[in-house]
Amino acid sequence: MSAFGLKDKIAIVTGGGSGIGEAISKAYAEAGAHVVVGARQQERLDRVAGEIREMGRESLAVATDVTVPEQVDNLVQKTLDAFGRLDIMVANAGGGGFSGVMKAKLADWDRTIGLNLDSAFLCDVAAAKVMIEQGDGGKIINISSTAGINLNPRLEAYAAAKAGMINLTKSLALNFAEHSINVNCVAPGVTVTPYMRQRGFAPPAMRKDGTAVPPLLLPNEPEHVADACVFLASDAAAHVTGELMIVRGMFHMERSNDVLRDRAGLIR
Amino acid sequence: MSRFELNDRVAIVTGGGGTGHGIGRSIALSVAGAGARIVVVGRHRDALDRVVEEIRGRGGDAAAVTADVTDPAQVERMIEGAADAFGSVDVLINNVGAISFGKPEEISPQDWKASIDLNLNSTFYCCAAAARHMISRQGGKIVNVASSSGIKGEENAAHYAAAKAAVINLTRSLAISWAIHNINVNCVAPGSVGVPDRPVPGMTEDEHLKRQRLQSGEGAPLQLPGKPEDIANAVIYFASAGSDLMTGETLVVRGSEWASAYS
Repeated sequence: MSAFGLKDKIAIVTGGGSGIGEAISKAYAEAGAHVVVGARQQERLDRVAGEIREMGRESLAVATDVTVPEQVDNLVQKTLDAFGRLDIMVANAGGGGFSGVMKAKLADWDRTIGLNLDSAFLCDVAAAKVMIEQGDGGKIINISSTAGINLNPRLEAYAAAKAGMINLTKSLALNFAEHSINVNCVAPGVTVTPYMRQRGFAPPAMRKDGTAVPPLLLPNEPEHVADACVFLASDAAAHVTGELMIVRGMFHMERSNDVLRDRAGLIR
Repeated sequence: MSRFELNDRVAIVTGGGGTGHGIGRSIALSVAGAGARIVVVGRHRDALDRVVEEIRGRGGDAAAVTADVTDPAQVERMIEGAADAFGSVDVLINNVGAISFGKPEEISPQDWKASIDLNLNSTFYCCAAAARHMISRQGGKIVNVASSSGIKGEENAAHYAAAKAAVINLTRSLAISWAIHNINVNCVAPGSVGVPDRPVPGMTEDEHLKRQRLQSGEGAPLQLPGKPEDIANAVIYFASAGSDLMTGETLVVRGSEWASAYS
């Protein structure tokens, strides 16, 4: 099973201070990696880094705005200063918050594209430069979203950026194949982060009729996304590059079932 | 690590004798290495026994079941046999399949039907028979081995490519149908995999030579054909808890070979 391990690999996870990024960081540590977490809020990063150290791995928290080239360079440089190399880059930082095309100004569009797409470009290329220099390959993983594949009438900029990320993954995979750098993309479906759960956005695990929702009809937990990221970062995925892994069960089906059952008067 | 282990899971591997590229054998050995008990299925008893011995020699647990999976009755008995031998069927790996070559205009109706039978129908029969067992236990993992031919098309193997494309789509339909029973159905689509030194059944000598030249050519590993282990690892991923919230998906394992289809 060593092919699925990440023993002593050095990984950067952006957006590592919360949600999916936190889960990826901890799953990497669990698999044996040392993890550098980068995000804007130092406090959150310090908490995650502390928890990783408690797991017996090394960790570093580097406050980073991933839309600023100098700050991405700083994140990579701090990693090299501390660990001497870089094996894995996970471009996970991102977010929604787009007001819709009819109200948005160009600056709103730019902000969302910057946070979700420019950030991946900056992180991927900064990491690749180091990996090419090292000469023994590496793994780059972009965290997109099913929003980048599906119809999303209220998330236009976010969806466009996430779609862009999927295609960027392919271009970079082709560019870096000769250097043994795998570039892949993970597109999570609806994922219930602790933040969402606190705000009551987690759909109930019980249906209105008292039956339990089967696990495959529930949304993701962050750990499900992290599992795919461990696989892609490991030797087990050595021959996978330029690919997209969609991580979702059939939650969308359960939701539409609920609507249909509601309409049919089956749910009281 | 534990998320990818298959301790005490019972896994069926069809085409596990590894008489072709050796992918089936590699899957059987790797899945056994991940902790599963293996039921190796195929037509050739000798080849199956060799793989079973190899697994046992490495401290694993395995049994051979001789079956032609293009025959629904034999498939039914194969599932029963596996459940009898090990008590349950947790994982089904549909690896059986073979390519044959010919210009589309020269493929005979018999060859067409034989390819659909071996590559597609067998997959459906095995999925359905295993699912009837898995539904009664409300859980299971099915991994179909298709081919990148089923996505990009194939110049001189239209019948094979069409069958593999159908396997990819079948994967989606079954995933939708059986999500409610907690059965994950996913697919691994290999690109070119290095051919062994010995002749491969169904492959002409010319084709074999061409592929050997390709795999020993210049380039980084990602620019060359893959290894059977690359396919086996993707299969382990879909058989494990690490893919619990993935279903209906196809993972293509082909290095950067896909790029030629776009450039």
